[in-house]
Amino acid sequence: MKDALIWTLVVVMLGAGLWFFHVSGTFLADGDYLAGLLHIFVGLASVKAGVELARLAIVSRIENP
Amino acid sequence: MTRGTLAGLGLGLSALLLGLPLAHLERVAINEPTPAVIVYLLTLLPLPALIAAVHSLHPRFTLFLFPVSHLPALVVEPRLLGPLVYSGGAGFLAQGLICVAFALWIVMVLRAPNREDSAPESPGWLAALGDGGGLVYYPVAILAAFVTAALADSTPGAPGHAQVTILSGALVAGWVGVRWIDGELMRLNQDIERKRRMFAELLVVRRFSPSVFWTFSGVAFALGSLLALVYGGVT
Repeated sequence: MKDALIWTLVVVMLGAGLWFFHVSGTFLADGDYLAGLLHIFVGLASVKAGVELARLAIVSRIENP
Repeated sequence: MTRGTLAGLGLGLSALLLGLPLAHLERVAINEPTPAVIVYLLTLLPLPALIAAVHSLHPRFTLFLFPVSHLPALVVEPRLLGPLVYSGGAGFLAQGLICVAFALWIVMVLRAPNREDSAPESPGWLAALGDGGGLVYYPVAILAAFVTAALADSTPGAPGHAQVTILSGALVAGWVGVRWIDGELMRLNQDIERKRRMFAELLVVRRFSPSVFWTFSGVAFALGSLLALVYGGVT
């Protein structure tokens, strides 16, 4: 149950990252580089949080098989 | 080098050689027929070849089958290699990227450990998201997010902005894929698998022995019964 919740959060964080990357792409494609760069940073932060959660889930699996 | 890195590199190579040119051709082929459905199907051909290549690491798959699997789509739709796709400075840059990607593929394949020599690697990268293995394809999704933004949502006639967008997407996807997904997640998964195998081997060496248990239990019961009979049980 705990693992399922963590992996759900991982999917949500990574999905949010993908969304921010897509939005940043639209800003970059329209020439608004500052907005695009800021959205890239937000997306990277979201992905990093998701990756850390995934690390927690992997370690939790080995400790509680 | 992990299989995840090789899978990501192979997917990027197929995207550069087939996926992006096909998407670009769809946009710029204004007065010409759009690519046929068969071309899109043939574009998916490298995927099973890549899975076979990454799983077996044998040269017949990595150096022959996977590269050759790109040819049918290029033969059926020769415009994928033509001036409609590769023209001007951007086309030259795209060709350079493809050459670099192919060179990286060959170098990493030649440096890959032989399957018979090395310890078996964790197959977690093929597993569902629960093992963290599915995340190896996440950098491709990142690149796709940027590419769709550049090709689908951008204003036609502004190629400079689209190129910056795709280049940014490649940089972000590369950073996330190599540093975070492969460097932190996949290696952690492999380390845990290795530790699990070491622990299992240790348990086998120092395992409980039924023969020793029954031998000593039998001796204790027999000797104890004898002593009870000789010294205390007989009245």
